[in-house]
Amino acid sequence: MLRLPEGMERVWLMKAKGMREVEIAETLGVSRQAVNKALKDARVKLFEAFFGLAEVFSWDVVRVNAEKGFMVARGKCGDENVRIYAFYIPGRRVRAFFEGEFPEYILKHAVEMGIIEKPDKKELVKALES
Amino acid sequence: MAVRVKWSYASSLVLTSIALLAVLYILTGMDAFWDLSGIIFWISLPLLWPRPVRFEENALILERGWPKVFLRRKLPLGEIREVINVSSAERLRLIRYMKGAYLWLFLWLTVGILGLLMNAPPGPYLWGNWIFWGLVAFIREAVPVGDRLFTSLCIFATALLLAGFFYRLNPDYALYFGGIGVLMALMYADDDSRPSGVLLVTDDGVYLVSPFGDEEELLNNLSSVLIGEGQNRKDKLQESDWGAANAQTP
Repeated sequence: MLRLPEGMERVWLMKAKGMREVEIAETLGVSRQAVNKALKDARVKLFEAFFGLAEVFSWDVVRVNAEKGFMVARGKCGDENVRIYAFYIPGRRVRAFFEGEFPEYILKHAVEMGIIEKPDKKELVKALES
Repeated sequence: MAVRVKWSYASSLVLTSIALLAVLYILTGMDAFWDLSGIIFWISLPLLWPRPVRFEENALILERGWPKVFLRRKLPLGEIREVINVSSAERLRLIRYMKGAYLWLFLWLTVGILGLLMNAPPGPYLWGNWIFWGLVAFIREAVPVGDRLFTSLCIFATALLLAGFFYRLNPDYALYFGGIGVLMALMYADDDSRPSGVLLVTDDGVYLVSPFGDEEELLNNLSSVLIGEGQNRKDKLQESDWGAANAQTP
């Protein structure tokens, strides 16, 4: 499964946590154009990872957010339709979960990324779906 | 697959112009404003006619216009932040992305209420329709995509309120709004009538690409392009500053 190159991942993470491109450039000591290019490349790579994952497992993509690094998809588990939530976790690549069965580290990650304010499973599902 | 007519800057300009000309017509009574709004509407139809979305190597091409292309937007893949299959996103409220809906509601209600207050020709029936359809469009964007029952109830309640108001003016109008309310409520209760299309959230705005019921095909094409593009970039990354030392593949 795809993993973003370290430098690109750092830029993407800083942006996902709410930093502006100029601030990222100043922090890393690179040009704003380099930051912008890294972000665009990161988005394409994340889309590639999520769409690729959906294709491999024949899931229907509902939503892919390359800015915060998550995907919502529909799939089959036996005869049942299930909802799948996948996240790009820096250092751990992509992790997918069925029907909101999130471990603690995903909730913590979602809070860090600004997807939710407090680590709550229901709140995370709501944020991902709406 | 085509770009849906509404929500572009050009469409916004057309709809705002029509509403403002209608206000001027109501305030001044000059037929020229009304005629001009009609002319703008009919001219805008071919100019903004949706055309199929094309995929280029690393971009989506969104075009409008008939018989020739009048508006064109090249959307590089790197500019896309988010992709949403609207009909599958049960709890999605389109209004979260379509802030223009507030403006349309304001404009349509302003025209309708002003027309009623000024008793402008051709009469309350027309101005009531501005209010009703303005509210229906807003409800459609404001209620979660999958909540068909609530959408229907809101539309029916809107029609009932208007019917109650118009009953005092003319019972025929009340009958019309009651009838259209039932019809629209039944129509919107049907799952097939849920909003559809693929929402593309980009750096410079939101595009609702409407593939007329074939969102999966659009997403599959997008997926193919993205995966192909990703492969190309993966090769390039081996030589770039960001990826040289750390590029990892499965």
